[in-house]
Amino acid sequence: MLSYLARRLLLAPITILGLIAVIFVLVRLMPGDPAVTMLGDYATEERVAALRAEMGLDKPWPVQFGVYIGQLLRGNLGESMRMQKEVSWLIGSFFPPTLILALSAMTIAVLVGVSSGIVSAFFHNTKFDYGTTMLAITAYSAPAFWLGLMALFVFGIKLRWFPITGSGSGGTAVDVLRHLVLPAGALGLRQAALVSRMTRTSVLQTLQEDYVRTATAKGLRNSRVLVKHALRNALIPIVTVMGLTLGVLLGGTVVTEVVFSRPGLGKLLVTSVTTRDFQTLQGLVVVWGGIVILINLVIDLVYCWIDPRIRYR
Amino acid sequence: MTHTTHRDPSEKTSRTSVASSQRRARPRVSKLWKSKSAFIGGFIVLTVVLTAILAPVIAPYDPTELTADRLESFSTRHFFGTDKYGRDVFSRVIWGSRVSLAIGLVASLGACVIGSAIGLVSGYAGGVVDIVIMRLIDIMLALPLIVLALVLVAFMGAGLMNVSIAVAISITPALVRVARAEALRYKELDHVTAARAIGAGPGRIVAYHILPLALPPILILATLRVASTILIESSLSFLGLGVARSVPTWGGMLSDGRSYLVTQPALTIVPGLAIMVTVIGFNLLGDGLNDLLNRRLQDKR
Repeated sequence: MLSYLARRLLLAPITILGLIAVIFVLVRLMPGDPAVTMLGDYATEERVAALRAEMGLDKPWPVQFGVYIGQLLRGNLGESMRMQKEVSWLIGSFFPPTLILALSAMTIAVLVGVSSGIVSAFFHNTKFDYGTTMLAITAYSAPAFWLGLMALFVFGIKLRWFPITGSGSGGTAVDVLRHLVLPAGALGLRQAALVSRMTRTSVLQTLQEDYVRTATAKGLRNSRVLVKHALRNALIPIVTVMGLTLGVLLGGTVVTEVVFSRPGLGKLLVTSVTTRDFQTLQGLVVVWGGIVILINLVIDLVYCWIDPRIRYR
Repeated sequence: MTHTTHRDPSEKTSRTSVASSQRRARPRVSKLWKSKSAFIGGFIVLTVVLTAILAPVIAPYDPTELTADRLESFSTRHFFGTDKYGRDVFSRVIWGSRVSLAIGLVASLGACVIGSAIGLVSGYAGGVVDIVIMRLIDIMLALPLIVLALVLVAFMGAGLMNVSIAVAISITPALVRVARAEALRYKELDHVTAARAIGAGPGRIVAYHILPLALPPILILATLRVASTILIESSLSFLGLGVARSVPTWGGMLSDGRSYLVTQPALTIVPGLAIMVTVIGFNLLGDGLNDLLNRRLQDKR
């Protein structure tokens, strides 16, 4: 148990450090001198050299990397030259709407996915089961941004139930929620399909276990067997898929935010790619990767807690 | 998303009976017919492939030809209407299948070859090589697929070739993992030990004694990954970071049609449906093949 935990806890920071190193090298391999970019093509050589020295670009890479890590630890991600803002400020202000979107989508995915999966497993090989399977495959195969556009078309434009752009920030809580429904729904539906399939498989497999048969044999009602005995163990793979889902959803916000014109990390990422703003890109990758690595770590720990057998591996 | 009918409790008992194992001993082609999802998926994939190949024959108009008939709606002349430059939407959807399929297949195949090579070597070699490779894979897996693809496009630039490479690299980590797991599973088997005993080198062992066993699960994952690559490519095109804008792509059409969602919804609905149907095809095919493989493995037991 302890060695497993120690291994996981040690690996996470190493992976984050590796990620920072890779993106650091990639950014420095890009053509174009940041100092020249900042000063313009007509700057004198002395001024460029002075700025390079000021930015620390004249030092060897390992030294620069050390400085960068030092800054990172103090929460400083550098400055975006394109936007004339601190990268940490940019990310800090764009992070909350993205997190809210991803978490709402996740809530939808888990609620819809787990419940439909359990019902499917319980009524497996019936019309209901085939119906949900078909729906799940369809939802899983549609691009999230297209589902978003279709939701916009039907519920935003035709029925006018929900607003079609923005995040409703600055408005009331109801306003924010109304702005969330369509993007979170479009984003969550696809993952709901995945969670549903996973839940169905997992519950079906658990229902075959001996202890479930024992529970039935000793006369427990079906509902009690399902809730008390089967679901608890069926949860294990579902937790994994939920963890992966949060990572995927954070990624999915990229296109969804563009479709719904919501501010957020995804939009910031697309802007930094199109304007080749590498400082922001670097910061985003570090933060994004760090979050996903942390989520995975938490999942592993939760895993350990709900399934004691894993500790002995 | 695997179909799990073969795991139903009712089948658990029949699996062990002699009659059923004889039934399963029939040739695999008939099993392919039996697996409905593989069959339907295969049919869809085949249709899309044929559409892409025969695009010049099927498409009634040149997909890039600008005309004065702008934003027309459904008619017998233009099945799905025309877009803002008067280009025939039906023809563009037909031609759009080429980019999606080309990138989907090339990227998946490339990732399959590179991913399985790296994974098998990593799993077979073990030690420091394995540790270093797996840490690198962990780093890549830390970024969601689309984010990784976007970052790679940022560094390499857009365009057909670069997008294919970016998409291929994005899906490689998953394939490396599967290949590595397979290598670990098979490297201690007797026939591998025997090969080593008679002096076969690591390269020979991996290529001739492990790869053939590891190939089926890798190919299945690759088939399923074609679906993801098509989705990533369409997202990149939608964001304007895919192949050149002049080339008709489904994602690009969605991005163009988006501004006309109110007046001309077909511009958005049709290319999205095309993406969805194609992706469903590859998902069903992969799922079906997976089912067949699992059954075969059960038979062997």
